[in-house]
Amino acid sequence: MKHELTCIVCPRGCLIQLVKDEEHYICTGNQCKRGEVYAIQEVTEPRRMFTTTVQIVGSKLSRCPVVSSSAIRKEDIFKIRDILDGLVIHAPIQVNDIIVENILGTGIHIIASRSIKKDA
Amino acid sequence: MYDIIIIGSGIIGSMLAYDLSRFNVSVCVLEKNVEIMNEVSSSNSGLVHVGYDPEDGTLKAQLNLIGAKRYPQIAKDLNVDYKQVGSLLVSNSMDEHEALLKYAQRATQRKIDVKYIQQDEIRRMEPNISDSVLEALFFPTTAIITPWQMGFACMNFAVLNGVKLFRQTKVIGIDKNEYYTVHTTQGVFESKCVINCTGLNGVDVAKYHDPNSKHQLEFRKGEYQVSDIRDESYLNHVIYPMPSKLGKGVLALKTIEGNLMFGPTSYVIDNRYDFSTTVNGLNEVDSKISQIIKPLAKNRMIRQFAGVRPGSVTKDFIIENKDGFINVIGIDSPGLASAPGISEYVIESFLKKDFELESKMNLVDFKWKKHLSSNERNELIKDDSRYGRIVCVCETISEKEIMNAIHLPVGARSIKGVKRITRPGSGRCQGGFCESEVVRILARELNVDMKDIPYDNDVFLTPLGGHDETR
Amino acid sequence: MRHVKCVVIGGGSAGLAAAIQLKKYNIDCLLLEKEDVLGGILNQCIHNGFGLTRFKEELTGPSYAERLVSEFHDLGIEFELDSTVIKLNSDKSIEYINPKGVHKIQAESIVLALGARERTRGNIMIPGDRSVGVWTAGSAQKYLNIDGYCVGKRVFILGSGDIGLIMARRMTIAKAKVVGVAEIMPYSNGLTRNLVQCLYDYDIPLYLSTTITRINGNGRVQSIELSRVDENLKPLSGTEFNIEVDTVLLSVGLIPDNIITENAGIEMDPRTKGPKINQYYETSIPGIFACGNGLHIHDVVDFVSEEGDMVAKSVERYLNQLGKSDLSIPVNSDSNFIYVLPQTIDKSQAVKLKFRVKRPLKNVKLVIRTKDEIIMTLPKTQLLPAELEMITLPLPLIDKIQDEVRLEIIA
Repeated sequence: MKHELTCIVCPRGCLIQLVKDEEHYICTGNQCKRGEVYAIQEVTEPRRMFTTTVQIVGSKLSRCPVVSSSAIRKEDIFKIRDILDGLVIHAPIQVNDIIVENILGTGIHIIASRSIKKDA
Repeated sequence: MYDIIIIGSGIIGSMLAYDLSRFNVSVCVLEKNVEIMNEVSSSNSGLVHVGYDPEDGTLKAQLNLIGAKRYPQIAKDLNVDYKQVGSLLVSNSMDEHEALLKYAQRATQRKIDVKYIQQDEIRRMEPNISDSVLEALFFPTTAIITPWQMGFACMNFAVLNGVKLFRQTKVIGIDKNEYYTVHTTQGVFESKCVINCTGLNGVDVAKYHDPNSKHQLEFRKGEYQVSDIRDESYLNHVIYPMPSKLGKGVLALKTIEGNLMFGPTSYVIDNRYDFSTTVNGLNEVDSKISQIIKPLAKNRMIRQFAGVRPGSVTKDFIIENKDGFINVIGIDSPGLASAPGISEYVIESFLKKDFELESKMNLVDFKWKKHLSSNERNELIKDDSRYGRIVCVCETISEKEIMNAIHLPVGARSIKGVKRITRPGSGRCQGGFCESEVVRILARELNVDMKDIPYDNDVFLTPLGGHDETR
Repeated sequence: MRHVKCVVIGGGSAGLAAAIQLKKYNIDCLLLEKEDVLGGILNQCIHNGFGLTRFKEELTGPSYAERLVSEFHDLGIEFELDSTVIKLNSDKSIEYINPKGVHKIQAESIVLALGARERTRGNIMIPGDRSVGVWTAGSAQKYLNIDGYCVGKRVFILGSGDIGLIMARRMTIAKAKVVGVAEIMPYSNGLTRNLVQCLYDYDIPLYLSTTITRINGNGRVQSIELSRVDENLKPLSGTEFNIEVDTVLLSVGLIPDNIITENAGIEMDPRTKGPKINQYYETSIPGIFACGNGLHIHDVVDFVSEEGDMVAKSVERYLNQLGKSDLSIPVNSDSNFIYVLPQTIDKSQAVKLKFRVKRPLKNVKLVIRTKDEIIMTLPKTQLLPAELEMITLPLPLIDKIQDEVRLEIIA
């Protein structure tokens, strides 16, 4: 099975070729090891950092921006989005507060990406 | 049961409501849009022409003069903007010399101030006039207004003094028995007399009353370009080219706020609601304007728009009384300038015959709130700090001014309404920064959710977590 | 009238950095911010990718802003919110409005950190109906991320720079259908990462060498007409096709927002749309400095804040009346460049030149010359318009400069 993809780890954007050889991958075209790691991850289990906003009450602001503590599986994006769409959180919030712990049992948390004061 | 139903709240309906509210008659106004002054009346040049242009013997000639004469007092009473900037009617060719003199004579006959001016003086008066202009007539009393400001002020006065305004109320049929029954999307209204001033729909509504009506409208689109307000001093007066069969031509004009506007073009369209701008139309504005002025750089233009005029094929206003059903239709140029004249004409010639028009006592005054100077603002902030919270940076408009616009007797109920009354969205960022804040304030003041605020006539926001369109 | 040593106009990523650095130089400044919060546009940029250089981690926009804002507050710097500057005068007096009144203050020095606004439909003159449903990408982003509302259901985006790409993803996550993205150039200006994560991930088609030639819809947008363009970016007759959408988002460029700058009579550069500066970030009025998106449009916020840092240093220099050179050597460039900053230099110290090229260039040489001499040649494998380039001219090379500095690209 052959894959070709552009690495996005750094601005170089190496064009990487990945060939599956029985159990392991042979990676060419990358100029560093990070590229190989990215390429293999991308073809086996693509992952993405996820950001969105969550409804917040008790503050002047109505939305709290959140971010995943690490990259989630690409296939989980919409499921996680749906969970977060249904949430309402309460001010005050501190940046990096865990909004949802261990989302979908992934071990990844959804955390607040800013602090929001309590404000009637 | 009303004495009078006015259908349509453009400048004609608003002016009629203003004048009639001073009498002891019951009046209601039916408007199909969310806001008044929404169509023809807000997409034009904003000019009070002096009145030399219409042919002798026409209603246009007669009523333009009366309208132009009434405006200064109306503007003073309502505290709206009215500025006699004066105009130049310019000619590029000695072939037009006869025609130019004819206009001068007509103006003199009609007692309109006019002065013939030549090359040097033209350029002193107007340094950015085109090099090809040879001679001109100067009309010192040509004035500019902000049409929707005038209309809103008139309607606010009217509503404060007893006129009832029904928005989002579209007329769908009219019966006559001993009185008129007007069927609308919001129910039935009855009156002794109906005034049809429905602009683009003038003939449709006339036909609800008389299916055999022979009136015919020809819809002409006019495209405009608008420049940044910082170019205000580029021109001192309104510049008219020599008129043609198509109309007054592509003008270079100023707005009260300080924008320059170039336009309108004039061509017949089939779809009366086609307010689109086109590449050809805007190119035509470019080429025609360069004949009368030295053109501005392209990157100074911040906006383009088009208006549609509902002109009668008879080339004159249609103002007739058919047994208490009064048609005021085919109001194209000089409709805005003539509006106070048209209102007076309808009242004097028709309504005074059917109604005992007694003046009302104890009229409530209405004064339009204009743009604040720094000193005025500083004083107002002492009473309400929200005059100091600037929401629209481009035009310096505060939260409180937006709130005032919403809470007028005829208040803004949409983004468009706020824009017309106080201007957020009219500046260089075209609402990019302030629009969501305007919606937030509308929702708060009208006690609804942001998703219930219309942009113009329709709502447009979906709260997050709503229906998934990707599936 | 109140006198202030330094007024910083704008509390976003440039202004905050400048104010923080000024405090570290022991200069008390007053920061004026027009919104009711500090942080600027970052507050609505909820995606990540910020801060790699400045904070050595990848942060979201709000997190980056909060880093600056926390430090700002910790240092106890004076600021006023809801404060809109309406007039900047050449004598460095400033008039501003806030809920406490209309104020006039006298500044000894000023930092302009005004940010940028987006190019609108009116600026690029897309013909068609006056339909409701056309927004700039940033405006739609604000509705979404600050207020929690999506402006439409079927979306088309014009412009494939990073803002357009980010919004393609964001609108999809917000459950709108993003039908496509059009880009007038034959290539996208956006980061490859964003092409992958915002378009390819969601199967959103990218139409290169394509633009919107008409917007249709009485009332709401109903459809758009797209056309391919030729090498001069002019629509090609006969290539038109229609797509049904109810929303158009425009991501067609940012413009430094310099009304007060222009009205003060400060000299502007039509190429950057910002004020002309010398290497000290000083404008044509001594003591008035500019940085950030208000000076020229950036791609990386870390470098916006870095400009804020640099400006603070220049303010310190100015207030302490450190030796000023009268030399004003113009920095010129050939037609390969959109712009080069600064527009003038003196020869007293090393200079960091910043520039953007007009078209993507591969395997070229950047040549810096003065009058008759080439003072530096740098081979470049790739230069992109979307990437601000920076190059430092060290003092020994500066010494060689005579009447002008000229940047050129050769094959």
